[in-house]
Amino acid sequence: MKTLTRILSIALALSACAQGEERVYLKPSDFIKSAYGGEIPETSVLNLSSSVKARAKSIMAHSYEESRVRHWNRGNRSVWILEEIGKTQPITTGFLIENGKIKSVNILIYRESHGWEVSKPFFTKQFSNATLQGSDKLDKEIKNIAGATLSVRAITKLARLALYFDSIS
Amino acid sequence: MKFITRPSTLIASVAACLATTQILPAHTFRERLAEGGMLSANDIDAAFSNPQDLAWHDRFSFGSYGEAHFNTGDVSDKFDIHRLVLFTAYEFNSRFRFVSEIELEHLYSNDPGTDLVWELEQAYFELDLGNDYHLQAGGLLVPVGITNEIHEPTTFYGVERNRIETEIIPSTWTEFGILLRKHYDSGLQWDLALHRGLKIDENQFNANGPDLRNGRQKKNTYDEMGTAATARVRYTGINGLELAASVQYQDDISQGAQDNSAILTSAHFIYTNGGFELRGLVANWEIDGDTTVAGTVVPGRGIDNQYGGFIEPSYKWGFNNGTAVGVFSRLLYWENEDASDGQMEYQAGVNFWPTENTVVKADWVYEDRANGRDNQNVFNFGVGYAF
Repeated sequence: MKTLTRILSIALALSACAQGEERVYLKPSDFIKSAYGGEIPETSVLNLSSSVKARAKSIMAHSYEESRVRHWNRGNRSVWILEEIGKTQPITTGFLIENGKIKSVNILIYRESHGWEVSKPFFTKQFSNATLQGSDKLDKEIKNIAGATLSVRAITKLARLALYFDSIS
Repeated sequence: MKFITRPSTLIASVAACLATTQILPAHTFRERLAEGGMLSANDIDAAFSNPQDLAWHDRFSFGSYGEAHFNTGDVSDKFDIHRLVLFTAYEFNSRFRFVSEIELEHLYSNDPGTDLVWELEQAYFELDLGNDYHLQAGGLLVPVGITNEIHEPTTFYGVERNRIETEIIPSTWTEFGILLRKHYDSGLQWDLALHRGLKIDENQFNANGPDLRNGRQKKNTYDEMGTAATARVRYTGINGLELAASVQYQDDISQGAQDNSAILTSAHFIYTNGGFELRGLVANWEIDGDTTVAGTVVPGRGIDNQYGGFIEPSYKWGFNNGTAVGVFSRLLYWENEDASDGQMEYQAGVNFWPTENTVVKADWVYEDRANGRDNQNVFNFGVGYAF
C-alpha cells in the first residue's frame, strides 16, 4: 500500500502542476477549417439589437450579455462558436449551419467535471439536420442523459441560439 | 487504506501544486471577443481558451439544492425541511479542482425525534489526467445505483427517495478514498474506487439483521477505516438509454470480533423516449460469517442476503421556459429483515416543475409491510429546488 500511496502522490503532484491546460477536444480554428475546406473565412460580427437580445434571453432562459457575436460565413454555410455554462463552467461549442439546418455540432472545449457524455459524437449527432420551429424550439427531440442534464440543456439552448442567429445574420 | 489515515504525502503534493500555479495577466472569457476581419487560427483559439489568470473569487462556483416534505395518512403528520445542501467548488487550474457539498438535514421538523444533522456529503480533489481520465481523492460518493450520485430533488419522481436506494443501497453514501474514472467515445465509462467501508457494530446486528444504513460512518465516528473496493461500468452510447452495473467488496462490514465480509452487486437502466421514461434497479448484498447479538454468536440468521429492486414508468409533458408536469408510478420489493417474506410498496404521484430548477411533488404510497406490521397508506407532499 505504501508503494501505491507514493505512486498516486507523485502522479497527483506532477500531473496537476504540469497539465494546467483545459480539455480541448477540437481547436476552434480547426472546427472552422473543417467547414471551409481548410481555410478560415473573414470573421463577421452580428450586432445584437435590443429585440434580438430579448429573444436570445428567451432562448437561453437568462440574459444574454454579448452585444456582438462573431461568426464565419461563406456561401450558404455559417459557423458559430458559442459558450454556455453547464453546471459551473462554460462549454465552448461549434455549430455548422447550412441552409438553416444544423450540419454538425462539436464540443470544442469541455471544462465541466460532470456530463462528459455531451462531448461525444453519440450525443452531438442528434442535432444533425435540426431546424428552428415555432417558439424557437428545435424540430427534433434531443434526449436527456441522467447525470448530464445541465450540460444537455446548455448545448440544446446553444443549438437553438445558433439557428436563430443564423436566421438573422 | 493506510494512506488515507496518513494523508501527509497527499497534502504535500497538493500544496506543491498550488505553490506553482501560474499567474498571468488578467482578462476574462467575455472580454476576449474580437472584432471582425481576418483573424489567424492562433487568435481564434486564444479567444476561446481558458483564462489562466482568473481572480480568486472567479475560481469559486456555488450551487445549492434543498427540499421540504410533508407526510400524512396512516403515519403521524410530519413536516420536515429535509435537507439543504450547499455546493462549492474551486478551480486551482483547468485540470485540478476541489469540490465539496455540505448538507444540513432536518433544519426544522415538528417531529421531536428528528434531530438537526450536519453532514459532509462530498469533499474531494479532482485531477484530470487526460481529457477522458480522472482521479478523485477525498470524501466521495460511492459509484453505485442511480440516486447516490444524482439526487437533486428536481431529478427524480416522488417526494421521498426510493426505498431500495435507502434500505439496500444506503444513499446518500459517502466514503473516504480514491476513485479513477475513464470514459470512451463509445459512451462506455468505468469507475474503480478504493475506499473506507461500512461499520455495523454489534448493536446494529439486531433482530432484523445488519442495519446497512446505520453502517455509514457519519459524524465523528471514524474509529475504524475498513477496506472496500467498488467497480462500476456504465454505458450511455445509445441516446435515451443508460445501463450500469457495479460490484463492491468489503473485507468486514462489522469491523468487530466476527468476520463479516460482504459483496454488494447492483444494476440499473434508464430508458427515455420523448416524454416516456422507464427506469429500474436491483441491488443485492451477500454477507458472510456469523453475527453477534448482545455478545452471543448467532449463526445463520437468514439475514446474510439483503436485496431489492424497483421499476418505475413515468411520462413528462414539457412546456415553454422549462415548465413541465409529469406522472409516475413505482413498484418496489425488498427484503432486509430476519424471518421476513419481504416488503412491497406501490407508489404513484405527480411532479410539477414551474421552472427547470424548481419542483412541486405529491404522491401516494401503499406499504405492504412485513413481519405482521399493519399495511398503511401514506400521502406525501414536497417542494424542492436545485441550482
